[in-house]
Amino acid sequence: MSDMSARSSVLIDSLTLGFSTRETMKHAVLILGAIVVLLPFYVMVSYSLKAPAEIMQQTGGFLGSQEPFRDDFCVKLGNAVEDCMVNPIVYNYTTAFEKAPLVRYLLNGVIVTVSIFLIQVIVALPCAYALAKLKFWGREAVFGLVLFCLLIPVHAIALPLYIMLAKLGLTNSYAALIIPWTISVFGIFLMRQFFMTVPDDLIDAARMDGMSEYSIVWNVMLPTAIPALMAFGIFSVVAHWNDYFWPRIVITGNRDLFTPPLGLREFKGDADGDNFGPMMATACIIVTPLIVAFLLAQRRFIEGITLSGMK
Amino acid sequence: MSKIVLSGIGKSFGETEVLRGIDLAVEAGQFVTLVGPSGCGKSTLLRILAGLEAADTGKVLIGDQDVTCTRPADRNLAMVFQSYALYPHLTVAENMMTPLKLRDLRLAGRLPFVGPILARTEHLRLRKQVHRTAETLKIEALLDRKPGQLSGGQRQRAALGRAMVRNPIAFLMDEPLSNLDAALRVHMRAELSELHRRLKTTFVYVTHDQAEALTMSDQMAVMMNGQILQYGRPSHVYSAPASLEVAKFVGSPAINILPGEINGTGGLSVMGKALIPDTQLTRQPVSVGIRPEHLKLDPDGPFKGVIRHRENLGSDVFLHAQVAGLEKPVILRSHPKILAGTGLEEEVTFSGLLDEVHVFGADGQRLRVARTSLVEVA
Amino acid sequence: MPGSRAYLWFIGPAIVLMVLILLLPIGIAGALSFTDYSLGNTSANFVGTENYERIFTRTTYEKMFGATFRYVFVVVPLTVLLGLGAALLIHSLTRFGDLYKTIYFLPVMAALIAMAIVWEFAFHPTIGIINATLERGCGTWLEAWDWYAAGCARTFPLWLTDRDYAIWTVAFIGVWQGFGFNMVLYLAGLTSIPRTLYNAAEMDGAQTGWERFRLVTWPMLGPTTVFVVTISFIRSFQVFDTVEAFYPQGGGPSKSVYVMMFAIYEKAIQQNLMGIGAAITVVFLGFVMFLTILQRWLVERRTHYV
Repeated sequence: MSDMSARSSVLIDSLTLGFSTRETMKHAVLILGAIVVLLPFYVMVSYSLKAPAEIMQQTGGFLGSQEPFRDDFCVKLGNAVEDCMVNPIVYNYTTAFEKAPLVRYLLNGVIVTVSIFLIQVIVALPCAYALAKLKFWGREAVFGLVLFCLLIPVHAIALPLYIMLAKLGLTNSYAALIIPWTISVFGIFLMRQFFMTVPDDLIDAARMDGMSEYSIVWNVMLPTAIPALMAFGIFSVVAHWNDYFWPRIVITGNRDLFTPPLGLREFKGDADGDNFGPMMATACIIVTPLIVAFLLAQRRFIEGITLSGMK
Repeated sequence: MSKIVLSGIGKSFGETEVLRGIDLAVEAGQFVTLVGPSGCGKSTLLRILAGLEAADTGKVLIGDQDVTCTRPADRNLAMVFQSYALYPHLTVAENMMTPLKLRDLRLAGRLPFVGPILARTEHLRLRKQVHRTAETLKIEALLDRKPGQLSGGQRQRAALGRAMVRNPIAFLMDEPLSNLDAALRVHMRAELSELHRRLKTTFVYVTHDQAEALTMSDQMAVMMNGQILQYGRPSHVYSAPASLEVAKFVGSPAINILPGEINGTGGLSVMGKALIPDTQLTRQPVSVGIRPEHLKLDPDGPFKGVIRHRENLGSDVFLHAQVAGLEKPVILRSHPKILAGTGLEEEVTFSGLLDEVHVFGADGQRLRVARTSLVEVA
Repeated sequence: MPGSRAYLWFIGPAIVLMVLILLLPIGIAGALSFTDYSLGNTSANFVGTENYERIFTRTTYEKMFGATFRYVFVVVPLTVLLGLGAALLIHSLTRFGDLYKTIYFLPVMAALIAMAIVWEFAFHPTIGIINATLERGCGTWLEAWDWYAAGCARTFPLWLTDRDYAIWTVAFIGVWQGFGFNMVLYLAGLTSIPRTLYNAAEMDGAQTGWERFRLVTWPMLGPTTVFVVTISFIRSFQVFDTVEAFYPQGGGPSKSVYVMMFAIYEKAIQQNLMGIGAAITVVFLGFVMFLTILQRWLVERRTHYV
């Protein structure tokens, strides 16, 4: 290696002023990558702001000209052309909400993700506590069962689950959306690992204070586990808000139960040329909550999403 | 064998100045300890010497060569890290082999699998070298284990082995014993000293433990706030600390500091009791340091105190005496037999050995007391 | 507390749910895979291994395996390598590292179905931004590339509807979506490597960045790599959203994107052929569980890694 690089490596910690050629190269590569990564986000946001003609002819840059255009549907309804001139942004976003019960979809998404998370915690937390801190006959066997179940991706057994739910007459219900996810083996495993690091003394002290095992779980262990629970919560919510496969299988036709991804898919199904704008607006609305939350609490999100990397 | 010279080394991390113009010359073959409280810059100085950190100002010379801008790998120094920094995926033998391979083998010889075949003789030679070092350190039995399977002491030896295997100009050690338990630490001190005698290589050793510095080194440098306060033989640093800070840092239990003053005729008095009639110093307030072993119970002694606490170590007893007007108790060392009769809350009188009294001026610097004038007042 | 039975209430619900939701379905899938069951029928006929024979002989399923493995063996290496590359670059930067990290992680957060629809637009042959951008390069030095010149002369590919391109385009979207996740895992792995190991490597004479990578970084990332590779396999085996969004019927041009999850969905849910769907499920589970066990074994072997 040349003397130059020899020096630069010694001085690596003090190299904060200015960009070296190497540093510039790295940025060039990373910026190129960033452009590819951001491309669909650019398309999505841009199309949600533009008029149909601008989308079809690929004019208007990112924002579009924002000139009012004629809403043909409105004209068809017999209104005067002047009354039917609309601003593209307003048109795209209002249509997104009017054409489909988007608010309902979003609400369903919230109901489903929150219920799943709460039930997962209620089931997993006591089990994790018992596995980590209580001694009982068969504990190793139960933990072995947990480890085995970690091998099973729920999506892979969607078919038999669907049959079971169909037999019980539960398809097309909130229950169908929630039940398969009520048990998070990963949550049990994660919480158990976390509880293993909580000192026994804390639990013994609580017992000396006269707490029952139930109140130890909810009043002592739960508060100590908040950081781990937050991370798990993020993991769980992101997975289920974005999940498309399972809702697609168990919800057929009943729009009142659509989750946001299903709603968007449905929109696409009956989209014609004019509806690209509103469809992109819908996509924006569905993607935005998580992206905004992610940008606000990046560190926690990355922790939560990469939790599965913990050993 | 080369002399190592650091001159005018300065280093800042952002706003904080960690090293302020350090000058230090290490003679070839010496065991030099850099000792000081945490944050004094001793580790940074060692890392600058190693080349892992670049100094803002100053020069590093090894032999006659200016190595200030030389990469660590080309300085031919070996380092033992506090955390040992053994490669966890390699066995002890492979760990020890690494510096040899990276230095002595060409690219082809370093290739996995085919390397040992392509450069057979070299590999055999290196393997022999590893075994010889392992023998010296008595770790032959551990050669095939991975660091994760070793105890703290064994890892320590493996790290030493990796440093020793290639006959460097000097060994740099950054708190190598601080992760060991107390008994093992004491044992390793003796072993390191012995190793130094045998290898006759320069050791530069960083520690926060003054006991390690006192017991092992030929020369010790006491560092505080990015400066070397005193550099000298351990016995000299102990018996003639250059400043109040050094006096307080070196020695355990710590030296007793009593307020005193020099009067107009040069007489030294401590807490109102005249101690030395003529020190040939000018009139000024001073701090007087007396080590616990230089105080003794003495029915006619000038100082009075109440015994608040007794520490019996078996071989020695330390008495903590509360003296009126002093915040900290005064500590006296004595022999258990002599102190057998003294109990807690008892009032005792004591005196000091006057030729072991250290006098420091208001700026903390040591003041030379004219020894000729010493007459025991008692 | 000795003698306390509280634990039964603690583990009871979890065990019941594990058995009902995770274990029982495997049994059901196993059992059904030997029948010709359809939902709505009161009974089913035992057909032996006929379903499995079909899976391993019929061309449809040959295409299914082909599409799945093509997808998996493009997406896994690329997401792992790009994830590692991005992590190494970002980790070595003195500034703006966090910005790139945020950007590259965005696709992981966004609902894949939404982004699939957006990509469909981007890849649209006439109004899509990709081909429009490519056309702008016509008449420049880029035409020196035969493929590019051909695209300019006629048209650029119909990315999603040309059977020579479809599976690779879908795989590209898989890579786009997945590598940020691996990057974050690798970044976590990189930050957990003790700095002193690099110092030791320097002292030992590792002069070049490559030597330090070989001696410290790569081996220290070993456990991360095992995990990243496994999770990438499992995730890419489960690809469904993009395929269903692009090809709601039939699995793409000449079934070239007929991946396993979509096959299960099509056979069982759309066509109500539960037996064959169950058989695919069993084969699929076999793959995924084999991979996970392999990963556990690899990690186990390195437990003394500390």
